[in-house]
Amino acid sequence: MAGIEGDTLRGHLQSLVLATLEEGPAHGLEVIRRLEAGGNGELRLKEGTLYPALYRMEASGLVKAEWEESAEGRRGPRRRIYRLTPKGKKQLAAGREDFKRFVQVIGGILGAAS
Amino acid sequence: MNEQLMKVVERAVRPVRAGRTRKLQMRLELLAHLTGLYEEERTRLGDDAAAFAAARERFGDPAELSQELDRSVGVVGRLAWIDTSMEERLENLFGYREDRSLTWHLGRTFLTSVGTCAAIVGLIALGSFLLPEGRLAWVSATSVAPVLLFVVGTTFVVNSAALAIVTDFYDRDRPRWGSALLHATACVVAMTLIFCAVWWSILEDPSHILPQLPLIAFVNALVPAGLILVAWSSEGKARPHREWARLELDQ
Repeated sequence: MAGIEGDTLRGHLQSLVLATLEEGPAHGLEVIRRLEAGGNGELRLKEGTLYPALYRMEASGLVKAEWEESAEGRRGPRRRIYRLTPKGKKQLAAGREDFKRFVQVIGGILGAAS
Repeated sequence: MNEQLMKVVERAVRPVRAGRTRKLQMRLELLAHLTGLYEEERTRLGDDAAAFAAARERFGDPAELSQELDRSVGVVGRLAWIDTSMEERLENLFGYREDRSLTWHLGRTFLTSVGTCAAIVGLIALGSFLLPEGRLAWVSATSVAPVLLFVVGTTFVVNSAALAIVTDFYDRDRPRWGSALLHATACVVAMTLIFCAVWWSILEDPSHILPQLPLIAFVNALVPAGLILVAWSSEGKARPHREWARLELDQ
């Protein structure tokens, strides 16, 4: 079976990212790792596209970002660490409710068809 | 390898219509991510070229990413982009350009001085045309010449000093403080001489000006001091941006 990618994934990306940040603050690469681990390798996201989503969430006040203190112990520049805000937690709860409803409605139709 | 990774990031970020600071933040964050991908792939594949290709594939198409990054920029970011664009145009017009020679810079400085002078003459001509007869009766070659001498002289000296001082700081890990001080001193001396020449041409008894010379020199010293301060502080901010701007991207 093909992995979940493109528009299917993009429609849920905000809730998925917020859910990964519920586990604790993380930089972009760590968010991707958590998504991959949670999706058992079925989620296929072009990793760069995570950042526009993070920037929009930051502008909306759903997440807050800070540069890490130093890049010690690894190569490359410093990373930004994202954490969930109270507004982001509310949005995540609302996202979960919306998804449950979506699954109930669509699942009912698709289930009835099969 | 770092430059190759930077180029992938720059292809995505350069077209984005956002302010300079925001774009630098995007560049650094995306570079940190891409570097992380590259390191992961290198550990997995054990080959630099294959790791780079795999990291680029995972990162995604820079053109598509560019569009998404552009869409993530809000109103404030867009206003900052307009501000940055204007700043870059002004820098191109009046700032130091590393791709041009000293002669070119001096020529531009001279033209700026002549242009300023022409603007003053133009304003006086316009005034004499628009204002009622007699209002500009005081205007004559004798009265305007010292003003023009002062404007042209100080414009040329300040611009030249700015150019010289900028080169003392431009792209240098250790600024040439001694040279900057020398250029500042030359600027003070030249401006003081111009000031004296102008006043000597106006005053009947120019000896009055001599006791005021230390004060005039002190006031004139504020100009190169300001130039040094601006060159020093702006160089620290400009270097990270310049590093990215210098990347040549293949089409």
